[in-house]
Amino acid sequence: MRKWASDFFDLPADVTQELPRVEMLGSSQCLVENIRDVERFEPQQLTLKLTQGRLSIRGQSLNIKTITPGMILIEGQIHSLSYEE
Amino acid sequence: MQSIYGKVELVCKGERLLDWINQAVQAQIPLEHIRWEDSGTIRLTVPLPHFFRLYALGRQSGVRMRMVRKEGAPFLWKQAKRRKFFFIGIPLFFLMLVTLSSFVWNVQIEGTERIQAQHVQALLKREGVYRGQWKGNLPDREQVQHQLLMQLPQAAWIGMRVEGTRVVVTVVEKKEVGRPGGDEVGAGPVHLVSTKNALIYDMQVIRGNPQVEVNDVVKKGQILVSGIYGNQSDPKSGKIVGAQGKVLGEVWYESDVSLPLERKRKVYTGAKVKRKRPYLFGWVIPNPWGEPVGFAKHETKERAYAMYVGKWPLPLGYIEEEIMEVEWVEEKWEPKQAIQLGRARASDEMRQKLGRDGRILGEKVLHTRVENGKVYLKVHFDVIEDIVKKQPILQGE
Repeated sequence: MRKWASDFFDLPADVTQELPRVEMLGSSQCLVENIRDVERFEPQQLTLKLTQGRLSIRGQSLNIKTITPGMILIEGQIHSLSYEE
Repeated sequence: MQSIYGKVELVCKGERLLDWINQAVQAQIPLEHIRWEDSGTIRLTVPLPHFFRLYALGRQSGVRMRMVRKEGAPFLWKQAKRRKFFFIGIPLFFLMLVTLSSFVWNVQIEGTERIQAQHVQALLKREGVYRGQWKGNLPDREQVQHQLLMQLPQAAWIGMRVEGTRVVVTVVEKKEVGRPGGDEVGAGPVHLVSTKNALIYDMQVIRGNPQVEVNDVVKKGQILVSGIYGNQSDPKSGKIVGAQGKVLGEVWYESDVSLPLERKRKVYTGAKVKRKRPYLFGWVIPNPWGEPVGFAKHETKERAYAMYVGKWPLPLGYIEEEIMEVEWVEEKWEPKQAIQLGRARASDEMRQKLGRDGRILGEKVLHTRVENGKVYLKVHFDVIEDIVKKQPILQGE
């Protein structure tokens, strides 16, 4: 229903379906919106809980530049992003 | 914006740090710069207004935290409070500087030799110029100068100027010259002799032995009034005094005058333009768009108007220019007119030369000549003037 509505009204899916919106600046900065929680936070790995599933960011000396409800800005050397169930 | 509220950097230790951070985020606490110090220790920055809520959450989850760094206005303010006297001192210093420099600290009087400085000081005090006077309360400079000059007859000029906290009053004293007529009484033994060849017109002898009479013809250097009473050839026979008096003699002069028949004269046509130009610190700001004045020949009168704040003039203002057209007009005189003019001029000159006692009995144009556009006149004057000169009597001969 939601997907249909967003397609029909041509609305972006991150607004209507609370999908994560990931914005990366090279491999040093990563902005993720529509997150629920930080599940794991280590210099090598950072796992974010999404509305559905998880998003894992791996890298080195990761740190959180800013965090507000629903948004996180990560800094460090990012190697990979992966979605998990 | 955040520096107004201030920020705190914390080093936190605990078992369930991540839960605590999540709780804090859910509680709308903005966290920044979260990084691991080592396993079990996290360093983060939180705005000061949110710190107490974060601290309360930390107490619940058993997190111990330590403040590492504080920045922003609240902490500076706290520091300022601790150094209260220093921060009060800064404005106090300037306040004192301004206050103390707005009083007259010293009144200096320059150039007094015969006039007593204390006297000048007393007069100044009456005018309101004294040590401890507020500078804003000082009377007008011109007025003080005028008042002092009125009350100090020995002073020729008085100037007052304010140099910072010092008032300098410069007095220029009159040069002491013997009183005019002071030599009349008790003057040395003198004869009165004639300065010119003349016909005696009138005599007023106050003291002395007159040697000539009215209508006598005298030569230059002749004794008119002798200082020796009695027999003139024998000085022992009478008293020797300073002769004193006035002898008016009739003297003849010839003076030459020349006058051009043509003359160029500057005349204002009446056409004029007024315009204003601003100036700043004595520099007139040129207006490159100004229209050129359409006069072939012109003269400019300038008047400066300064802007005032209260009664203090500012270094800016405007200059009002009045540009007036001028024309050269040629004037031609008839020889007759020119002669008349030349005569008037000659007699003016003569009157000036004669001074107070003299007067012109008669004048006559002896000779006129027109040459090279000029009129040449020879005028004869018959005048009366004081012909007296003092000559000391040589004694002991």
